[in-house]
Amino acid sequence: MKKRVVEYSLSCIIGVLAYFFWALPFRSVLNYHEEFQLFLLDSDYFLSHLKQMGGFSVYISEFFVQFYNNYWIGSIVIAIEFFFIHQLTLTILKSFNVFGVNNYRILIYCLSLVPTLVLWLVLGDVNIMHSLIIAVIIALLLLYVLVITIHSATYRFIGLFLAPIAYVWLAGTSHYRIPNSTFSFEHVYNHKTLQILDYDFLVRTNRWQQIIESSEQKQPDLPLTVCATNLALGMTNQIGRRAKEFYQNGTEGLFPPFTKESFSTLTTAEVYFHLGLMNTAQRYYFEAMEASPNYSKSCRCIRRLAETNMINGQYEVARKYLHILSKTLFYKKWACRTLQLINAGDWAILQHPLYGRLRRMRLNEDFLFSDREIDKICGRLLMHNNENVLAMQYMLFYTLLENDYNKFIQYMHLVKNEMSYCQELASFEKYVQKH
Amino acid sequence: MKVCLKYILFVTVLLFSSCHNKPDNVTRVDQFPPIFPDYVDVTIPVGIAPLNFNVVSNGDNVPCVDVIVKGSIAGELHSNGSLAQFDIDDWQSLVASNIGGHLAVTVCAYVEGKWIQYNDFSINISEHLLDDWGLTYRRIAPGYEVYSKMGIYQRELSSFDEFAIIENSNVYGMCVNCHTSNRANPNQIVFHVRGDHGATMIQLDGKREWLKALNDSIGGSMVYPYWHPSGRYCAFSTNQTRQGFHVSDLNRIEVFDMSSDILVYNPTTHEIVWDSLLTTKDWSENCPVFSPDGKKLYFITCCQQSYPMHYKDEKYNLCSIDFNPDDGTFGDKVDTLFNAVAIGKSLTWPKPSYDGKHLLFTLIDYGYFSIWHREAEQWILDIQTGKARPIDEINSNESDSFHNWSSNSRWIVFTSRRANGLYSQLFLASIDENGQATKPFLLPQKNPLEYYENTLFSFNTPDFTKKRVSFDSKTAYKEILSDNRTQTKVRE
Repeated sequence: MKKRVVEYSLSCIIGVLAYFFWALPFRSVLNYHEEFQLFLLDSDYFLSHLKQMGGFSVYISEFFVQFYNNYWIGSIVIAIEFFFIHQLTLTILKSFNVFGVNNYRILIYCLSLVPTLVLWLVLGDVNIMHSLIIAVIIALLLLYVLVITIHSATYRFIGLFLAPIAYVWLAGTSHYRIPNSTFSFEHVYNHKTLQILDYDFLVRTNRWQQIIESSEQKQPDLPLTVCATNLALGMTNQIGRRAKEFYQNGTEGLFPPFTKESFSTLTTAEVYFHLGLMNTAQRYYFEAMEASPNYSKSCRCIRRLAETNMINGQYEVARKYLHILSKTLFYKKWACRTLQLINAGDWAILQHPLYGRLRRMRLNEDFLFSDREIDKICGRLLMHNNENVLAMQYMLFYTLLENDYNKFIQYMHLVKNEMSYCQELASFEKYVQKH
Repeated sequence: MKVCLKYILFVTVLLFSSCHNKPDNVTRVDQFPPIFPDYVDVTIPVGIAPLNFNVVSNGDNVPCVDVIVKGSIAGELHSNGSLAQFDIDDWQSLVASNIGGHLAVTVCAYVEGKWIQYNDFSINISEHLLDDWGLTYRRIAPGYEVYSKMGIYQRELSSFDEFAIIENSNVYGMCVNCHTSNRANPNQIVFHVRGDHGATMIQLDGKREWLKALNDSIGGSMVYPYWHPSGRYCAFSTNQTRQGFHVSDLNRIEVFDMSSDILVYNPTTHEIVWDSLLTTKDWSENCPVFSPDGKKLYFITCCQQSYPMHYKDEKYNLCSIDFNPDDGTFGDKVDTLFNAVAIGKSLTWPKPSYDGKHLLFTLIDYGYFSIWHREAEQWILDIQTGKARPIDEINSNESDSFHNWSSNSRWIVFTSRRANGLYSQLFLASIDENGQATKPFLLPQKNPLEYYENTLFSFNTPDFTKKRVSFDSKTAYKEILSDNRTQTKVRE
């Protein structure tokens, strides 16, 4: 009895450690895995996975990963998985009995930690998909069946041949997100990667103050972190006052150039979204989803695409995305609510605090987007809607980053004409005096 | 835990439940059933896969429907469940027994606690055969510059079976496009591979050849292809294509060519034939297609503009030039067949019917990349009289774009964004000898609502194929990665 208590306690300790590890410093990794999948509660989706080799573990893993939407719940899932893996390993090790369970109990306990710790280490490479956890559980379960439940030597012999086949069919062979690339110790708990994921998580959840605090603790030095910091400052009306306190990498810190890569594109999409440039935001969300290296769709992007289409008045496409999201566990409620909003018509959308504001910011005149004239586009946004304080801040700060003070002065005049009073404008006055 | 239990219950119900209730106390309503896809009064060919459909109420699938399909000549089918779903053999037999007649469809649906019977509707069975095996098309997300999983696929028309011809999942970063067969003949096909291992693939009677993607002498790569009916030549355009992105217009993307010319390639000699009339400096020649007798080359042409500033002035006319297939030479004058510019429009994707009577094209306000133009509509030109008209029978409010003819020229397939304005779907319609079309029908799927609602792909560049395309994709992937390419040469 006492031994069982020790064994359960050991598994519980692992579970608890895993819980706090994934819920606190590693929550942004959970966010990353969750935002780049689209798990549908749909028979078609289930069957399409079963058709593929390894699709079973991918399906089960995606089912669990959807709970990462809330990192407190997601961490419980991982904790239970780790608990289960440890318990299975212990049971299997004890059943071998080669050492004499009672004589070498400490050794068995130590060995039982190996799969869990190795898995913990490997998951430090954020591109290892969590289907690997399911694959490990499948492997241990097969071993369990082989060693413990089959007593006949003949069946065990047959099982030895069948188990690898069953494993490959159920669990597949590849659990790395990026094709033609494999796990590397260089990627394990890579500081820069984790920093990017942290900022990505904070931008996604609109935690502007936390972004600023992170940047205060450590100067942002990556294009994405600079962009996120500027966006956070803009959203809290502090660009004029504080942006120069942080490292800036030129105008690219406001509008990073387009790359065929998901994270940077997603953050840039958020900038355009909050500026009210819906078509451009839509393009970036779409590209961010398409750039996912394992071809998975993204619930985060789909949600934003539904929103941008709704703000643009393209209700049928928005409905399509919302119907898809209504087949998910965590977005269903939001999707149904938003569908009702669309069904209520333009009036209801205009009343919405976010969508209504963004629709009013949306430009009526059309032209082709040019990232070389983005300051002018910000100017047009401001002239179209003088409540667009973010556009004002981006336009003015853009010229400061370009060191184009003549343009800055011109824009200051424009802003003074367009905006009767804006507290944030005062923070830019110091640059007029300076130059 | 509660959430998990709910989920398990949901999946179990989803997998094993179906409606087996029979209608009783039926209330009649004077309207056609709200079904997806809209199959009311469509015309279909013999041999087409069952026209399964869902009854939709408030955007959701009605989980309990009872449908009776009666042939005007003979036969009857009954379906009861979460959608109108028919056995393939029973459906084919019913349709075959009613050629020239129609199927009367009676729909009852269990909506808000009561059975409702709608007005019957008809599905007409065409006398025109569609004797091609299936369709080929590209499936890709309707994106901008980045693409995830995509490929060229073929679909059997008599069933729901789809097969990949080539997908990009085996060669990372690869894109495939512009697959074209010679009059639906799967033994003569061409497509392009874009990306690090770019090439133009030509497969003739099972023998594959990978042409170098970029050729300095033509100033770019081969783009839009069209086979000469003899199979001895393949015409291509070569385009310096750019994209622009609208800031607020609902048409999201603008495609324009900094320049484009037309060339003809001889697969036997690997020679490229140029002609000064098809490579003018101030005009952009594009979308070449041969006439069915092979003696003319149709193409579109527009006066080169300054892009992106004047992209709205990029307007194309339909022209033709004589072609001598014996020596691969061109005539010395270009004729204008349809002056779209004169009516303030732009013409694109000319496709002559294989019987030589008509020519399909798409008309838009400007440019040629009609998929991103909501105003795009299908037109038909009578080649004998030179008269053209919009095919109102098939056009919609959204982009109706790329099209192709069946091998007997009695059916067309085209893409349309009518469902939601973004995701292109495939529609089929019959066209009679006089150029009159019937109401088009959406390519059938086993569970259409679930399929089309879930898919995040567009179907584009569809074409018919007489037989299943035989393409050894495993070897092809190796060949793509090998980068062994045949160099083309310009005929002096």
